[in-house]
Amino acid sequence: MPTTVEPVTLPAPVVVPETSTRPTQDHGYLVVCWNDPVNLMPYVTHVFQTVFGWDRRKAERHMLEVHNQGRSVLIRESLEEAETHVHKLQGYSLQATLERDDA
Amino acid sequence: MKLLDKDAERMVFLLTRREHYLLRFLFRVARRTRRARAALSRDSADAIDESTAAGFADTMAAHHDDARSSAERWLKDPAHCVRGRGGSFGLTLAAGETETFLQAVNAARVGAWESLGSPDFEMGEAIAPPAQANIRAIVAMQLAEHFVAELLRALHEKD
Repeated sequence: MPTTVEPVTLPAPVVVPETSTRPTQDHGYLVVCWNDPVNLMPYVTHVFQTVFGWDRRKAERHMLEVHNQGRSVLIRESLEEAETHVHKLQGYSLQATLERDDA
Repeated sequence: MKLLDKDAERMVFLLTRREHYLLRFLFRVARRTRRARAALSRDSADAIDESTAAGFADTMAAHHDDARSSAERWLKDPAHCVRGRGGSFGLTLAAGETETFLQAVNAARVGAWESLGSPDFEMGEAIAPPAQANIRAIVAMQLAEHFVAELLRALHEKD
């Protein structure tokens, strides 16, 4: 005796609009500042204070990290925010880059 | 370069006639910095493609050119720079303009350093053999260092 099979309705495929491949809301990007032999230490401190609104102590700590260790991770944020901060830092002639934080 | 007055809106500097001349000299000899070509990302090629990085470099180069042009213009513009008695000048900059001025002076210093071959002085690297262009670049670096220091002093002086 044949059994009756209930029709199965598959859900419609979800189409994700292809707007951008860049995960702009992913707060997994690091803004890194690299040491260089030209920018003056007080200048670098000033730039960190101005760009990030940090107090002098925090800005100096990162400046010294750049100077002594060659680089300092300044902030972790979304790709768009990280790009904006790298733009600002490079506008001040600092060597800044962003990188994905895979940790 | 001496800070005469400062409030939340603007800063007023006194420039001697010689300082006014030297700032204009500095901006005139400033080379466009090559550092603007630095990549946005050093090791996350998946995040930034080449065309994005190139566009970014162009944007940065234009930014530095604009800052220098603005600073040069302010030194000549009577609305910003007024000649006083004895040939000195009063330079008035709005808060944001002072930051732009600082960026322009520092970029001139970086450009001069690059023209010397980007030596690492802390590592004892020597400058290329003396030549007229090198001497000019060394003078530009020293001048810019003086003005950067004065601008920073003014920016961080309490109102």
